[in-house]
Amino acid sequence: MGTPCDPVRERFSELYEDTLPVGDRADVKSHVDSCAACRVEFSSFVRATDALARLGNSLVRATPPAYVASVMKGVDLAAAGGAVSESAPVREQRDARYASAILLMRRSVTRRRRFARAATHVAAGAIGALVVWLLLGREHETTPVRIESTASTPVLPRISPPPVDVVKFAPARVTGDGVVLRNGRELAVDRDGVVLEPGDVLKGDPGASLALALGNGASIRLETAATPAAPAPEPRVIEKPVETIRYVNNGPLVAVDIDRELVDEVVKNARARFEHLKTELESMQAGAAESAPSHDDPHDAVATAAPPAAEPSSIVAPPSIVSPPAPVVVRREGDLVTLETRGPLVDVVPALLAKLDDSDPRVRSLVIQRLETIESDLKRDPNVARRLREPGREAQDAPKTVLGTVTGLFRDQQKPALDTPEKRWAAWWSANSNVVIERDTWGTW
Amino acid sequence: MNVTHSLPDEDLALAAGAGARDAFEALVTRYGTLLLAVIEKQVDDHHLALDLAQEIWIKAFRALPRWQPDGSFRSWLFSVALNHVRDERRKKARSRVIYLDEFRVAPAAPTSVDPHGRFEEHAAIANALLRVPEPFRTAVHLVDVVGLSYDEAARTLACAIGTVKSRVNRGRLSFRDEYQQVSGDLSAEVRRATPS
Repeated sequence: MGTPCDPVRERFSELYEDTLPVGDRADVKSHVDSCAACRVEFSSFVRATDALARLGNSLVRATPPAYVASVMKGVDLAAAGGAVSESAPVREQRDARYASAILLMRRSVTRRRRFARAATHVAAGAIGALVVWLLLGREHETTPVRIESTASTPVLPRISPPPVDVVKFAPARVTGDGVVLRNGRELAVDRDGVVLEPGDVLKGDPGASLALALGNGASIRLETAATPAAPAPEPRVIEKPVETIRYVNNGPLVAVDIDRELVDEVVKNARARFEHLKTELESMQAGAAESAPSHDDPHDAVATAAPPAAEPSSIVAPPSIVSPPAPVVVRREGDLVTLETRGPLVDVVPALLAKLDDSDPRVRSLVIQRLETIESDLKRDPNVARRLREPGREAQDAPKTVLGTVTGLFRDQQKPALDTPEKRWAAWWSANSNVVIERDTWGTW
Repeated sequence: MNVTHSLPDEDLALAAGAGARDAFEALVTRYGTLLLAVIEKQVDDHHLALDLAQEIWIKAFRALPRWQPDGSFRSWLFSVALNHVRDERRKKARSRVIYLDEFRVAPAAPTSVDPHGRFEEHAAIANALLRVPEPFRTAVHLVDVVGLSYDEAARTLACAIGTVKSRVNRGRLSFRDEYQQVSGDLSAEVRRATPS
């Protein structure tokens, strides 16, 4: 049996949209005003429906031109009596080049029958495809594709996504062994390097090595695989959120999206933010040492030890090698980066601060996380002072480990590591429009 | 400036039905992304949605000469799309291919907190919407996210306006519960994390 509130709640949408008939409006409104439960229900209903509207407002509604072109090509083929071309942009581009061959190779039995019935149209489609191929050939001058085929045995080419126009923070200088594609022209990268401009695409032959100097001392090295001979490898795409590097193995494609100002700012802020921890801990430790009851306590050796004169070393080692004790240990296992800290905080903090200079943004990211945790512990944990007086206990604790994958350096820039629809859509858009969609302007469907 | 891009949908649709290719292209430009989004919400697979969208555009192109402007073009287009998706499902069912969407259990609890504890509102909304049962989810998606009017949504879904209104209301209530769970969890998390 329903409550007297049920009929009112069924009309929440009308109340929200202000579309209630005049006669009912006063009744519904007065009930919501007088019933505490309905008032709460309705206010949460408004919040949730507003959230849906925000999602709707955030959607990008324009359509990438390359996608429109691919749809229209399929429509044209269909209008000409040919078969429907598949729509995924990459496959579609491939189809356009090799329409006749692909039609025979990839269609289902049903479709083949359809083709058999429309054999004359296939010929027309092939002519159309030739025209499209000629047109596309010009379009793709900037994304050279390694195609090995003969007239009798066509081999499907691997076509890279179109270049992404994201050299946002020019001037960045590129040096090394490769070329820069600019407006269809190739500029050789020599020892002096080339200053990148928006729209440039970096290209390196297999085995080549390119370096991007960012003007602030930071640099990124891009190295191509040395074994490109394998037939048609899957494009290898490396993405890093902050320093977005996309490199396609067999159709060199490098896009760079580097917020170097942010890099500077965050690292500088992190250093300034956490530097005080060092002095704070040293003074706390000195206080603890003065109040220590006995100099015979073996822990005193640690507790009263002078802070390291030089920056503590950290060791980069594969997981299989046993590292000597060090305050900070970085381990790498593929894309997985692990940061371990052990020992008294007075040793750990300076070592972490030194690690802020690490060239790997993943390491810097983990270091900042760890420093934040320490800072938070110091503020919140009243037992920190006690633990400082018992440094041996701190040292015996299991090393604190922070696991990280390629998640970037900055909190504000970080994305969930999941393959979200948002990411897929942004990638689809970028691949079809030569425009990078900033995350904030991209809605999740 | 291309004048076709400033024409209303219905004029473009009539022109496309009469064979004007540029008018049809203008419609693809106007609704390409939106149509993909609607399809993807149905099949939950971006690549499958791309394939289906291509087929739907061709279907629309072939059907436009018979289109009568007694409703909005976009509601007609979306109804073609939803029917096509339904047909594809039936075909898959006949060929004994398990279509994941039909056997999918409710998605895992929506996650709205990124690895660093920040609230991801768009992800939270999308995840909460995924947990709204059909047919309420499609109704809410069409009206609140895509932005169709009730009349357009009714034409798209081939049902009465009253039915759509009822579905939207129930869908919003269901969404509210799911969304509240996300934001409620977050509030609790924030409370726990806040020093007393």
